[in-house]
Amino acid sequence: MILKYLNRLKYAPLYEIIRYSSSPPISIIISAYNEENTIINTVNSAKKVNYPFLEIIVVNDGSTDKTLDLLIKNYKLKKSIFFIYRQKIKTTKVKGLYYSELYPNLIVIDKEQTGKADSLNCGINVSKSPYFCSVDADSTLEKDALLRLTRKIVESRTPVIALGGVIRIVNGIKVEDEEIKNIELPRKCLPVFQIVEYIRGFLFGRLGWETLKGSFILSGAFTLLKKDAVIEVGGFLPNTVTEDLEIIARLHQHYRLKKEPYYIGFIPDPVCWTEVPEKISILGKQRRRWHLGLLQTLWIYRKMLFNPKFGKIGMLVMPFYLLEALGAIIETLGYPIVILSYLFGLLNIQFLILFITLAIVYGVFLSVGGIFLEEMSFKRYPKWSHLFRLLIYGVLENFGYRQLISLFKFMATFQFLFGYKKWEYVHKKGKK
Amino acid sequence: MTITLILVIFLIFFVTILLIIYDIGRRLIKNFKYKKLDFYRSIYLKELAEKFNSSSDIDQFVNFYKFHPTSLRGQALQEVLIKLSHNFEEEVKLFFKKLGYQEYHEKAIFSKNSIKRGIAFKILGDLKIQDSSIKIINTIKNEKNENILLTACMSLVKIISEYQIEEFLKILINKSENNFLSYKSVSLIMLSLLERFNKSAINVLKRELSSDKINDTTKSIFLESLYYIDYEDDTLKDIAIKNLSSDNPELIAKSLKIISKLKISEDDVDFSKILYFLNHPLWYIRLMAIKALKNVFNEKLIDKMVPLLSDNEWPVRLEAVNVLFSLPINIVIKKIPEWLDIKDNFARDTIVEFILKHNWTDKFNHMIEKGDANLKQQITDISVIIKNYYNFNFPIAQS
Repeated sequence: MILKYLNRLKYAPLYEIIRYSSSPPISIIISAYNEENTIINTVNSAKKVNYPFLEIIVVNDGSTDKTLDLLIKNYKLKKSIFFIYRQKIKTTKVKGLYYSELYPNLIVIDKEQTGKADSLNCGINVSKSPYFCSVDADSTLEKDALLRLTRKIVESRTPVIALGGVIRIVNGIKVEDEEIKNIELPRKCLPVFQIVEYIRGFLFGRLGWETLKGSFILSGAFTLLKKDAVIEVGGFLPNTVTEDLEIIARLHQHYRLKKEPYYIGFIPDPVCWTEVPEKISILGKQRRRWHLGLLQTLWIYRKMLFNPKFGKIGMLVMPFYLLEALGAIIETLGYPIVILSYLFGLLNIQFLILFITLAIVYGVFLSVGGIFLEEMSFKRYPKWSHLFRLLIYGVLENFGYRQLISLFKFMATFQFLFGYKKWEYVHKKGKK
Repeated sequence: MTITLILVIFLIFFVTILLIIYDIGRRLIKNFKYKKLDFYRSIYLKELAEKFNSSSDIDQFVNFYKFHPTSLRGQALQEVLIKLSHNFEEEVKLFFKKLGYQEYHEKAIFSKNSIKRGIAFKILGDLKIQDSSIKIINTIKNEKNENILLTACMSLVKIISEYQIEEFLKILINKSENNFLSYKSVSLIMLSLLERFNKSAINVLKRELSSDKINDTTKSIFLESLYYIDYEDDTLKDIAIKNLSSDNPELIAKSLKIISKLKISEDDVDFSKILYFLNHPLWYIRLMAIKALKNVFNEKLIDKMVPLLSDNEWPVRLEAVNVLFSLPINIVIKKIPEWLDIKDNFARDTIVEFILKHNWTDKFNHMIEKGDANLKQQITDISVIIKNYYNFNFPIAQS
């Protein structure tokens, strides 16, 4: 699938799309809460995106740091003394709307802190474009990222509702003038483990589902959505912890029930670079939130599970994710149970060794498989040292990192069972 | 059980080792390949640029470059030729033909392998090999792959001659109507075609639009393409007006869009026809109807436009206020208090936002400076109304 796609890129038109009106206008919506370290870089990178009809909307989600001040200073923002704010999707009250004297396509919305979902809804209410792209405030879009996404909109005969691109990890990489210059692997272990994990997740998981036409998870850090469709289903839901996952599930449900043709998919070549946690405690927060979001979404849309009315999504994709969600419990409990069983004499040493070996060898196989796909396709890590380090970390991640992630998921399952719904903000270092 | 487990472990382990060996081996081979490609590219670029520049006889050196098109050297050579074609179009075409590459790619367009077909279409188009146009036209008649079709059509646009436009358009219509190409793909192809051929393509297009053989969706794509190019004439006007009677909303919207671009007068079109669309249930038709009326808007039409200030859709409200404020300033000033009396909040908001965003406050001040007492009073009334509604002063209220 990936090779077929890459070969197609050899002849598919790309830059022709810019020249004509076929490409739909897009609003990039950036929700920012206390992002003083990253916001200017993110807006600058959005400004540099190679796309003809672009509007950039930054939603300051009640930041208590200098996020808004920096935006005002850097882009000569002027507070509009009067503005119309029509709530096509109900949101919290907007405190102010700012226009830039330097960049007419930049708008900043200032509002009370109510979370990312509500901020995105505010952005949608202000947006003038038929499509919007939600981008995290600590992310850098590659120049052609939007163009590569919209190529699908131009070519598709089915209405495109949502498209997701690839998220790659920016830690350790030299970013100059908001552009990715020198690709390097980070020195710290934790981000490298995450690189291996992301490669596997995007090239194995998401591309695999795309092949089966069952894309269900698109990363909120970089997703293109059709505005009307999102408004029609009521916008992002503020009381879930992963609004990106929930909205995709809702869109699937909506269009399947309406029996209208639609396309929600993953495109492997547009890239958005984002920062990942470098501390275990922050990684734990992030992963617990993701898993809690998955469980919440599966619970909200439980009626879709095993329901033939929802086709492949209900019969195959959602059951898979349910299995994955439960897998974390089995995996986390599996290790102590097997060891305890051995200690209590219920299991012989031979089986214990075989069980642990199988778990590790299979994990290594998946990681190496992901790196293999990366090597076959985009090869974004060009040095030999990169390849060897990735392979080594692909092996090493099975000795502690994977178990740690399972533990976070296990903890999230408990949070879910006890009704925990809070959005945990993940603070990152910021690109220097 | 134990043996099975051991076997499974060994099997997975073995596959993993194979993947690692493959990764390393592939990278070794690729690195070697890319280095060679870079080397060949730089050599050929230098050599051929010199040769084409000095107008050497191609026959004298073509044999030195006869490599198989899929070989590394052949690949590098083709990339160099595409680069050089911008400066040496004819020389490159002749060289490409004498190398046998043209024949190779003309055969490849019949290949069962879609990638081979796609690449062949692209190269023939990029190098503008006009001789291949007939073969490509014949091939795409049976092509059903939407991605290949888009590439082939984009290439054809670059290489067909004027006399082939009609045939090409007929194929495009067929592909569009049989849903082999998306709406936006056809639009992209049409715009490229119009950009290259302009009047000759427009004439063929108008003939197709005048006939009843094409469906409404295709008609609307064609009309939209015509909107974006710098062209207007009476036939286009007639076509647009005729299509206003269609049942297809897309076609009506595109026809109104065309009318908005043309300089029409009351003699050209029965305004009641356009006014009717101001109340159409679809917002984009209402929007296009306002745009179509913009050029001929006058005081008599104010009453028809004012209700649209309360429209549910912001683009419609904005366009309505835009048109109303295009009237002479003394009429606008006289009418603003009436418009601000509309009960709908969004209508009032749209008017005030327009006044502030488009510096109408400066215009008001300018009128005040002229010293007309009546006008001054009207402007002061406006500022008082706005202050009462929104509780803010703008410069006029203070003046």
